Amino acid sequence: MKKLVVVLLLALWGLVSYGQRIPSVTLQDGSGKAVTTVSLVDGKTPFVVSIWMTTCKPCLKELDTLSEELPDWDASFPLRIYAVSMDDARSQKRAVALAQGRDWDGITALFDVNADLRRALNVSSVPQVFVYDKDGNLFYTHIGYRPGDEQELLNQVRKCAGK
Amino acid sequence: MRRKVAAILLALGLPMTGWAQDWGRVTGSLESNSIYYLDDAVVGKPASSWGSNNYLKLDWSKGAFGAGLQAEYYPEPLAGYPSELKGSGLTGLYASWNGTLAEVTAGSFFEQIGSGLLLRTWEDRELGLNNTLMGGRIGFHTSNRGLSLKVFGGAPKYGLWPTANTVVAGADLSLDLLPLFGVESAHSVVLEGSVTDRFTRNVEDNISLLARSGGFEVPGQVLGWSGRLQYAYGGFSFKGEYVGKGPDFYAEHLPKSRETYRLKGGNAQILELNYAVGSFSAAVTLRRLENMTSRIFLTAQSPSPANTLNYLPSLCMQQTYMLAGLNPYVTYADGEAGFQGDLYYNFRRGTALGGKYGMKLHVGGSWIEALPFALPDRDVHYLAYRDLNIDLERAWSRKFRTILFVSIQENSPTHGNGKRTDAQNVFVLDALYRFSKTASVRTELQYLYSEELTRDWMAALVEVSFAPHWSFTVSDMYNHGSSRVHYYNVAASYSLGSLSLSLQGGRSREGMVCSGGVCRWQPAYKGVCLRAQWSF
Repeated sequence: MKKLVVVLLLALWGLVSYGQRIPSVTLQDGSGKAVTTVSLVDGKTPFVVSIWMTTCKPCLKELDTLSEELPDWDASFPLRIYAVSMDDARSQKRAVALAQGRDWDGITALFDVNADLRRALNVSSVPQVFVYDKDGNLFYTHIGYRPGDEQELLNQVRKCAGK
Repeated sequence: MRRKVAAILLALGLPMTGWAQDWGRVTGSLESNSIYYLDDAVVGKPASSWGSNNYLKLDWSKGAFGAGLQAEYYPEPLAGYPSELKGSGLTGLYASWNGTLAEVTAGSFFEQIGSGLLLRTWEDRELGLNNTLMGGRIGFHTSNRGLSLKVFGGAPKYGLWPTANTVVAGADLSLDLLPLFGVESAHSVVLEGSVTDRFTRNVEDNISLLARSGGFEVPGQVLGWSGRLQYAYGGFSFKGEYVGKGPDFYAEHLPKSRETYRLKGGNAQILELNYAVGSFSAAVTLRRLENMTSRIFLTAQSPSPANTLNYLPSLCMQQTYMLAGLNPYVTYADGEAGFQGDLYYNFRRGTALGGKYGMKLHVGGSWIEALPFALPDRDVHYLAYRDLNIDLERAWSRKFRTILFVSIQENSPTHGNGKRTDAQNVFVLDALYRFSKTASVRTELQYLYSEELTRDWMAALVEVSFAPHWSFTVSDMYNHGSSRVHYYNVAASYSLGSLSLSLQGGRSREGMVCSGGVCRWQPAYKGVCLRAQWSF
C-alpha cells in the first residue's frame, strides 16, 4: 500500500511539474493602465518575473543587484525582467515612487493590486522569482533572496535560452 | 523491485503527462507553520503547549476554464490567532470561466473596490484573516478595456466557513475615458464608481438590546458607495476617492470609558499624488475617514481582526526593523485625518555623492490626528501619531554596502484624547559583506531611545548566507531600560526551487503583529517553530 502511495505521488509530481505556464492575470503599470501577463510572452526570448513588496528588504536587494548586473549582461538576447509588486492599493503609489526612485534601469515595474497573480502563482512569501521560456512555460523558480542568488538566476535564464 | 517501480512510473507518468496536456494543468501550494511552546519563567507560556496552522491550495485550469479549492487545518491554532479557526474547513472552492471580454466565477472569490475602504476581501495568513466571499461574480470589459463592469454577491467567510447571516452584494464600473472614445494619448483619465450593500440578519440578542437602548433598531442592510478619479501623464499621477456608507450600528465612546450605541453613517476621502523625474520620485497621500468600520457581523465585544469587510490600514510607514516596529500605530476608524509622504532619490554612480557605486536616499513621514467629534472628550484634541523616517543606503564596494536608518516616532495611547504621547527614536546600522559570489554576512545593530513606555532597547542580528540554499540567523532584542529581558532567536532556513523550510527557536515578546497595516495581538512565548512552504 505504501509503495502504491509513493508511486502515485511520484506520478502526480510528474503530472504537475510539467504543467505550469504563466497564468493569465491583468496587472497595472505605473500609470494604472492594464497589462496582461500573457502579453509578456513574446515567443522569442525568456523573461523573469520577480515578486516583491515595498516592506520586503530582500526583495529590494535582489532587484537592486539585478539592476546592477544588467549592464554586464551579454547582449546575445535582451534580458527582460518584470518586477511585480504585491503591495495593496494603499501602498501602490508608494511602490510606484519607490520603483522609480531606486532607478531600476532595464526592469519593468508592474503592480498586482488585487493579489490575483500572487494567488495564481501560489506565492506564500516574498521574494520569489520565476523564469519563463519564450512560450510562457515555467523553467525555474526560487523562494527568498540570499546575496549571490542573482548569479544562479541569470545562469538559469541563459540555460532557458539555450545559451 | 526497482524495475517494477520504474515500469509502473513509466506506465503512470507518461499517460499523466499526456493527461496534463489534454485535461489541463494543476498547480497548488502547501504551507505548514507549527510552534512547540516551552515553559519560560519570564514570558510565561500560552494556554496550549503547541499550535499548527496548515494550508493546502489546488487550482486546475484548461483554456478559459478554471476550478480550485483551499483547505485549512488548525488542530490547535498558533497562539494569538483567532480562536474561531480551530478545526478544519474547506475555505475556498470555485469554478470560473475567463473569456476574452467576460469572466464568470461561481464559489469563492476575492474582491476589492478602489483602495479597499468600501470593500476588501483578502487573505493574510500572518493575521489569520481570510474573508473571501462565497457566491458569484460576473465581469465584462470592452476589447480596449475602456469600459469594465462587474457585479457580485456572496457570503463572507469568518473562521473556517462562510457566515450564514451576512451577504454582501455590489457593482463596480470603470471607464478609461480616452480609449473608450478612441482617443490615443499619453494622458490617462479613469473614472470609476461603485455601490455595495451588506445584508445582515439574526444579529446577536445583546446587539438588539443595545440598539433599543439607543432608541433605534439594528439596520438589516447598509448601503455603501464610492466615486474615484485617476489622472496620469508622464511622471505625474493623481488619484482621488470619495466613499460613503449608510447608517450602521456603532459604539460611541464617552468620557470615563463609557459607551452608548447609535446609528451613524460614515465617509472617507483619499487623495494621492505621485511625481517622478529622473532619479527623483515623491508620493503623498492625504486621507480622512469617519465611522468607516465595516464588519462581517455586528458585535459589542472586542472584534477579531478577521471580522472585517474593508481595509483601513494605518497611514504611516510599515516598519521592518525589529525595534522600529515595537509600537505600531493602529488606525482610529471612528474618525481621523492625516497625511503620509515619501521622497526617494538615487545618487547615481559616478556623481559626487553617489561615489563609485551609488547611494539611495529615502525620507518619509506621516502626521495623523483624530477628528475631535470622534473622541470621548469632544473638546480635547491632540496629536494621534507622527513619524519621520530616513534611510540612506550606500554601496562602498562590490562587496560591502550599508544602510543607515533613523526613525523618530510619537504615538498617543488615546489617539489624541490626551496630552500624553510616547516618543521613541530608533537608530539602525545594517551592513552586508560578501565574502564570495555565494557567501555573505549581514549584521544589524539597533538602538531605541525612549523616556516612556518600556524605555531603552538595543538589538543585534547576524545572518550568514550561502546562496542559493542556506542561511543562518542569530538575533537578540534587549530591553535594558526597563524589564531587562532578552528576546533571542536562532534560525536556519533552506530553499530549493519553490520549496522553503525554516527552523527557528527563541523568545518572542507580546505586541501587535501587523501585516499590510492591519494588526492582531500576539502573546509572548518561548518556543521552537518549524515552517514549510512548497508551491507547484
